This record gives sequence, structure tokens and C-alpha cells, in this order.
Amino acid sequence: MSVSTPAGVGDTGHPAGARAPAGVTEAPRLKVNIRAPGEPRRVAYLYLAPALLFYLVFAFGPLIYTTWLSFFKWDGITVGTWVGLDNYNQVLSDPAIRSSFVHSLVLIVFYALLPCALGLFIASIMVHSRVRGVGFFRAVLFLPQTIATVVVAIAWVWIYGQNGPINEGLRAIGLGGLARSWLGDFNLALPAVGLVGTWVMFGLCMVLFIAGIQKIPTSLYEAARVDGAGRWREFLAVTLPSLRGELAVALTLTTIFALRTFDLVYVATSGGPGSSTTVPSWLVYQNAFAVGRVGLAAAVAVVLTIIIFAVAFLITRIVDRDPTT
Amino acid sequence: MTVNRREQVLSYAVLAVFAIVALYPIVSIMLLALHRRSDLVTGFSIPDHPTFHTFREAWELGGFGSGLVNSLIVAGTVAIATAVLATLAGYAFGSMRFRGANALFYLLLIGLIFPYEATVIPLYYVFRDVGLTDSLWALILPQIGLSVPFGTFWMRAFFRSTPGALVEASRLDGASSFATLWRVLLPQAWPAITTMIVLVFMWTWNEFLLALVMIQSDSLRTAPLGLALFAGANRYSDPTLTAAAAVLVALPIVIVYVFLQRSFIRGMFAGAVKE
Amino acid sequence: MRNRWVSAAAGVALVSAVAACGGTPGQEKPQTTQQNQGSAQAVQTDGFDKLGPVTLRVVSSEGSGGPRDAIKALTKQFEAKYPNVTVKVSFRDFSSWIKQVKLTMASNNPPDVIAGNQGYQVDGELVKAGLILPLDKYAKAYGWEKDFSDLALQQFKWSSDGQQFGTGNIYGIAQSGQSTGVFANLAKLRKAGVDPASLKTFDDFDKALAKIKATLPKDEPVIMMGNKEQYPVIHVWGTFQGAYTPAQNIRDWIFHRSGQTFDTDANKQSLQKLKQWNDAGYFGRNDDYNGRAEVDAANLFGRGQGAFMLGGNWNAQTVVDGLKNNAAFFDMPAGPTGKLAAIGSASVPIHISSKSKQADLAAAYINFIAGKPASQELVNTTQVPAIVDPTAQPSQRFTQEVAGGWQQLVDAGGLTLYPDWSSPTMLETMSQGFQELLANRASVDDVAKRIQNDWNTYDKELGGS
Repeated sequence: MSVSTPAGVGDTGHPAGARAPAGVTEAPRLKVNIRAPGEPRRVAYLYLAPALLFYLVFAFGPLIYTTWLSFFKWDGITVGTWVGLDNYNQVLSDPAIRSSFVHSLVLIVFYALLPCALGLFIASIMVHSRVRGVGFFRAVLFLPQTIATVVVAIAWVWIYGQNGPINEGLRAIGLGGLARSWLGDFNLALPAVGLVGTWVMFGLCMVLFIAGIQKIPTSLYEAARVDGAGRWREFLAVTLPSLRGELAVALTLTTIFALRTFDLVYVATSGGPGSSTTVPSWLVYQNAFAVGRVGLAAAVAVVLTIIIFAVAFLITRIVDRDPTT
Repeated sequence: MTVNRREQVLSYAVLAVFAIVALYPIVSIMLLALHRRSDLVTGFSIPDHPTFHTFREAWELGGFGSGLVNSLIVAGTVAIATAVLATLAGYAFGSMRFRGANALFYLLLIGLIFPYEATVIPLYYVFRDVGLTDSLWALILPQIGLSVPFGTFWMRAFFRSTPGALVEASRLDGASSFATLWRVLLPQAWPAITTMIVLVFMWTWNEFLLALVMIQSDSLRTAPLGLALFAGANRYSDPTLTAAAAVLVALPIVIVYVFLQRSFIRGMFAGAVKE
Repeated sequence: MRNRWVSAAAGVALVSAVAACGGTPGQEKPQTTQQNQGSAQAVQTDGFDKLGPVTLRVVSSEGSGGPRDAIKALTKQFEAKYPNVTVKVSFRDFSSWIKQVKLTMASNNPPDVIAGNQGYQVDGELVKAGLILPLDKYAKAYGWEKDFSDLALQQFKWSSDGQQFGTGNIYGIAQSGQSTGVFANLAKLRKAGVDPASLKTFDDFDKALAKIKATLPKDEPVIMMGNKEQYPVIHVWGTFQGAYTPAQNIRDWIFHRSGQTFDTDANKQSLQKLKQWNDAGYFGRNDDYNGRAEVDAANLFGRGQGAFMLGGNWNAQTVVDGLKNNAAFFDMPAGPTGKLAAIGSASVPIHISSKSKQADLAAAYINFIAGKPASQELVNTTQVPAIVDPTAQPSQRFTQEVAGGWQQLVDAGGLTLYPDWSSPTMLETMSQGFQELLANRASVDDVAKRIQNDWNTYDKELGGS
């Protein structure tokens, strides 16, 4: 069962195989890509309008409004007061808020770097293999992505529990001394949460990379072999560069997921123990709705959004040298 | 390509290990749900008296009947509305030239990556002022807005990939743009549209934060929200019950996934080939 | 290229204009509270069966144990009294409810009756936003001002701007008296040769801990504790904060009377004592109790784990269900101050939403579950009714001990109330601070300063004093 996308779906319509400098532009120089000309412009806007309307009113618009709110001190009920950049000052200086962003960085390691490394690892192993039933493995590996995060959280709270499978397993092999309440430990709670993220994301990365390697022409590998390249060199010279696009996508998706973590923290740890598993979106929720510091929450949300944009931009720039849409 | 035997075996082995890791928590929680409440369950254990009683109890106590219905309404409406809107918009982006196409598309792309957390604050307060909070609309409308970027991106890619000749031929026949869409392109678009519907349905079903903020009454809770609140109250005193509730909430999507998994995966990694 | 910049600039300008249209968020508080106060309408206290079918929606934060059983039983009785009335009670767990309650009450169709929480975090905010009704006319009609003690009533009173706690209108009443104290497993004490009657001072109690630890298995804690929700340890500490600081000082600090501070030697000594017990291993392993919920701890204690459990008497039913005759309860013996003192207060006040269309019926329900009619049921569930001179008296030894513990504190003026009432963020500040103290990540001085800083910040908002 080979991997194939239905003809054309997902690619640019460029002649197959060519990696043209893709751009979203309909600029004249990409003559091969011209659509039917002469369509009256106004009709296009009509088609766009409903989608754009929903987007602007319910998604983009609120983003702007959040930015506006971040300049106020407001409890959500009575009249707010203008405070300019005070909230942003607090975001930058308050150790509690800063540490939540640091925790996000830690989560990025677990949600993004680790799964991508695992994905690359398995891809590199499979480069020279033809695995039957890869479709089955794909389906299973991807399963964690379909489970609601709330369910994932509940399952892992049980797994990490005093009498959960991990501790029981440790006790069974005589390492009972290591058994502990993983989510109750100040130092281990954040990594424990991180590992849950690894579990959720690693299948996605694997599926992406396994699909990616199937597109690599074998001629490249033969050329490498002729040059006397060993496994490691082959990986660095052929596999990795060819997977650039997939790597960019994987890193972007997983990093954003790490930065956006909320459900997992809400259900599994509530930010504890202490404040060792607080994350920015948790702080946004707490401040906007539980404690009544809406302006501060908005500022945290804006900073988070900026970071996400920056990260997505950086990843695309660094990893995927071909500028993409 | 010489297929290295040793690497072949290694590939299977590694895949198998990871597959087990992926399945383990899911199986664990299912087994937990099958235990009786009185079993003091530890670790990964196969119940000696498997019972579905926990499921029934969870259903009754947790009101998951209405939770699943609410989730279905919200996810279904969002998926279908998004499909319609995104197909129209994708058609415009993918088949037509017009001023500002780039700028508008970039604008939409921003929606692909920014976090819900940034929008939930004003959405809540504005909805509250107009009386929409605590209603399913409060979940449906924003999620259409938040799903449209992905849908448009997706359909645009599809439309761009259809041969220009088809469209031109239809135009030369004098067909309006809509007729072209309806008669010529749509029949080919079903696989793409199905994938999009399935993905948007899944993401909307699993959405938690929005429901947590918008929904206050018991009867309007979506399944994940109901589960989180149910678990908060019961998870320590009654882990088997909580596990059953969790399975109930995850099951619908998993079932849909098992049948349509090709669609799912296609959607996720087709986007990998950057335009 | 220039075009792109121009259109970008235009976009930004447009968007800013739209944003600014949002204006200053928030609105003036509706003036309805004045109207309610002024009108001396007749209050309907009976005859609700003439109303036709009507539903009352209630949210309770008693998620488990005796208190939950009591509400269920009382609600059934109320429905039996008025068959046309359906009461829908939703039970939520306390720690998540107090985060959600403001959002819920601010929505368009909030429940009629809800549990609040004394202090600035919940009740103060609810009053400030005009989300709950002042109940003075009901207090007069039902005689609540006579039934409840002054200290209890003080906990239900707020000025209408939500700034002053302890004076003003009555916004709710509570069901029971809740105090914190010592639950003891008599079998384990006997085994260690410790006679509870001999623990006359806090020092005695302190010394007994070491003695008992020697007789317990290595991984069984002397004091069973569950701190997953992060706040239960405050209650543990609250049983002996008053050993060092007089109860009146503690209360003054909570009510923001002028010149109070948390950062005193006495308080630091109490924090030090908590830390010392933790370091001696009396609570068991840090990650164990941090991962264990309060209700779990009570269950475990009831099943015979641990010699003592320090906590609130809302756990009484759970404990006695498990330990039966081996269950005992007593107040923490007095410390250097010489007087009994511990965290305690009336249980959470029950409020009526200002948007409720059935205010009179709601008030009748509240009176039924928290006023005189409720006393017997509360006693049946091993609770202590909050109202003075209840006609219902407990017959079981354990329940008498629980009631006695409460009464002695009341008589000694030793109810310190809850320190987290003192600011909207205090619960979080104290919870996190305590957890870090016990994990050796913060010092006693640190934590005391942090707590006082939080208090100072809010004090300024209140206009200082």
C-alpha cells in the first residue's frame, strides 16, 4: 500500500516533482500556473465574502479587540481604566508570568523536538525498507491525535497515579523505590506533562516523515552510496534535506500545540504543584475569568500570539529554505 | 533499491514498539473502564469480571447523553458551514484573479496559527453583552470563523490543482462561475471536501476551552466539558467511572476515525507539501 | 513594494479604528440593588404550592460526603412540602466552582440559588458586581438575625459596593459551623500509648507526634493529608496558627482593620512548625500528598491510614463511616496564647441571584436548608448547624465531639475564619507559598512576606486604612 495523495490535491499544480520556488503569487512569471483570465473581479469578492466575514468577526476581530483590552485594567464587570503599557510591563517583570513562558519552552522540547527526533529516527530506519502494511501502522500511530485532550489528560492522570501502570510496573521489576506520585512532584510534574505531549505528537511526526521519505528519489541514495557515504552521512546529506518541508510543518504544528497547551494543564494539574506547571494559556484563563484581571490576561494572550507568530516565521525561515505561503 | 533485510526487520520492530506505545494509554483506560467500581484497580490489569455497568452509570450520572448530542450539533454545524464557506472562498482564491488576493489570503493564513486563547476573552464578553453566552451559538459561530482559514487553504489548494482547461472550457460554453463550480468542479472535489469536513468535525468536537468559558448550564455542555467537570468530582473516588466517561466521550471520533482514517491522514500530511 | 506598505498601513489604521470603537470596556453597575433595598414589599414565605409548576435551579459546592447528603435529603423534603416545585441541584467541586462562580452568575440565565464563599475573592466580587441580592427583608421575615450569632452574621455582611466586609447588608446564610481540628484514630493512639485526654497543650500534641511515628510502618504518615487542590494544607496549618497568634488579631487582619500584618514573629513561628513537621516526615512524602485529593485523604484515613488527620469537620461523616468507634475529634489544644483557636467559620453562604425570577421561593428554600428547619438533618450527617441553640442534638459520641469542638471554639472566641478571604488572590498566594515552603523551595520569611505583600496590594485598592 503505497502512500499517495490523490492527484493534485495538496500540491501546487506545478509539473510533478519540480520544486519550483513556490509562492502564493499568481505573478505573471509563473505562466504555467495561470488560471482562467477574464473573470470579473467582483464575483470573486462575493465568493469570499461569507468566509471572510465569519473570520473577521469571530476570529481576527476578537484578536484585535484582545489587543485593545490589554491596555486596560478591567475586572470584567465594572468600568475599566486605561493603563497603557502597564500590563505588558507586568508580563515582562512578574516572575509568575515569566516562569509560565519558561515552562512553555520546556514543553516545546517535549512536544516538538522529541517527537520530531523520533520521527526522523524512524524515517531514517525505514529509508531502505519496504514495509508492508504501513497503512496500518500509520493509522495506529495517528490515533492519539484524534482523542480529545481532556480524555488524554484523564488517561494519563491515571497512568501517572500512585496505583497507576507506571508505578505498578516499577514495583513489578523491583524498582518500587522510584515509584511516586509523578504529577505531585515539584520537579517532575512539568516533564510528566511534557511526556504526555510527546505521546500525542510523535505519531503525527512519524506519519509525516514516513510519507516524506517515500517521495525521495532512490537515485539520490545511490549517488550517496557511490560517494562512500555511511548511514549517518546519508541521513544528513539526503534524508534530512529532503524532509525539509515536512520538518517545517511538523515543527510548526507541534510547537504551536506546545505553546497553546491548556486542556492538559486544566485537567491534570491545575498549574500545580505550586506553580510548576503553569503555562501562558492557563494564566490567561485564570486572570480573565477566575480572578478578574482581564487586561492582564489580554496582554499575556497578545504576547503569546506574538511568540507563536515569531516561532512559525522562524521555523519556516530556518528549516524550509524555500519560502512558502 | 536494495532492500536491506536487517533494516527491514528493524523497521517493523521499531514501528511495532511505537504502535504499542501509541495504543497503551488508550487500552489502559478502556480496561480500567471495564472494571467494577469495587475492584481496587492497580496498574494495567485485565478485569476478571468485565462489566459495562460503569458505562451505564457514567452515562446517567454525567448526563453524557445530552453532552454527546450537543457536541454533535456544534461539530456538525461547524463542519458543514465551514465546508460551504471554505469551498466558495477556496474557489475564488484558487480559480480567479482579483485584486488583493494575496493580501486577503495572508490575512486568512494568520488564522491558521493564532491561538484560541487570544480570541476567547473578547468573544466571551461581547457574547455576554448580547446575550449569546450559554448557548450553542456561542460555540458554533466562533468555531466557524476559526475553521475557515484551514478550510479555505485546503480548498484553494484543490482548486489550484484542477486543470485550467476544464474551467476554460466551461467558461467558453458561457457558464457562469457558479455553474462552473457546481457542475464541473464540485463532483471532483468531494474527496477534498470530505477530508476537510472530517478534520474540522474532529477539531471542533475536541475543543474544550471555548466550551469551558461560554457554557454555564448543565444541559448545554459539550461532551469534553462535561467530562472534565465529571472527572473533577469523581476521578479520585471512582476511577473506573471516570474512565468509562472518558471512553464515552472519545469513542465517537475514534469510530469515525477508524472508518475514515485515510481521509484524516491525507488531510494532515498533504499540507506537508508546502505550496 | 510601495503598494504593499500602503495597504498594510491602511489595514492597520482601519483595524485600530475598529478596535477603538470598542471603547472602554465594562459598564456601570446596575442600580437595581437600591430598589430592592428601598421597597418594603411584603415577603412571601409560604403558599408556594399555589405557584403552579416551577423549577428552582441550585448550584452547590458540597461535592461529597456528609454535606452533600444533607443537601440531597433536605431538597427532597422541600420538594415533598411543595410538590409543584422541582429543585434541580447541581453539585460541583469546591475548588473549581469558586473559579467559575462569577462567570456563571454574570451570564444571562444564572441559577437561582448558589453557594458562594466568604471573603473578597468570591462574595466580595459578587456583591460588587451586583450579581446577588441583599436578603435583609428575608432575614427579618425568617428571623435569621436572631438565629445566627453575631460572628456568623458578620461573615454574610457586605457594603453594597463590595468594599467592606463584615458590615452592611446580609447577602446569604450558611448551613453549618465548620471548624478545623484533629481527627484521631483511637486504635493507633492506643497502640502508641498516647491518651488523647493527656494532650492538654499544643506542645503535648507536638511531642506525641514523634512518639506515634515510631510505632507506625515506615511509609504510613502520622498525619494523613491530601493537598492536590493546593489549599487543604492551609487548613492543616490553621489548626495551630492560633496557637501563636490570638484569634482576634487574625480576624482583624482578614477584615483589613488598620495596622495589621501577617509578617509577625508569631506567624512565622507557626509556619516554621509546619515546616518542621513536614521535614520530620509526619505528613509522608511530598509528592504523595501533593498528588492526593482532600477527599481521598479522608477516605484513606477512614480506612485506617495515619494516626491523625488535621482538617475541617466537613470530613466528619467520611471519617466516622470508615473508622466507626475508633474515630475521635477534638480541637487542637491551646498553645502559647493559652486559648483555643483554629480556622473555622460558618460554611459557605448561600445566595440568591439578582436575576432570579423566584426570589421569594429561593429564600424559602434557603431557609429550609440552612435555617432552623435544617438542624436535624445536619446533625444526622455529622455536621454542626450554624444557628445558635439548635433544637437538634447529636446522640452519637463522635458527633458530639465534632459539635463540641465547634462550640468550644465559639465560646472561646477562637474561630479565626479563613485567611484566604482577605484578598481575591490570597488563596492562590497562600496555596502556592505553602506548597513551596513544604518542598523547601521557599523560606518561612519568603512566604510570610509574600502573603503580606498580597494583602498590602489589595489593601491599597480598598483605599487603605
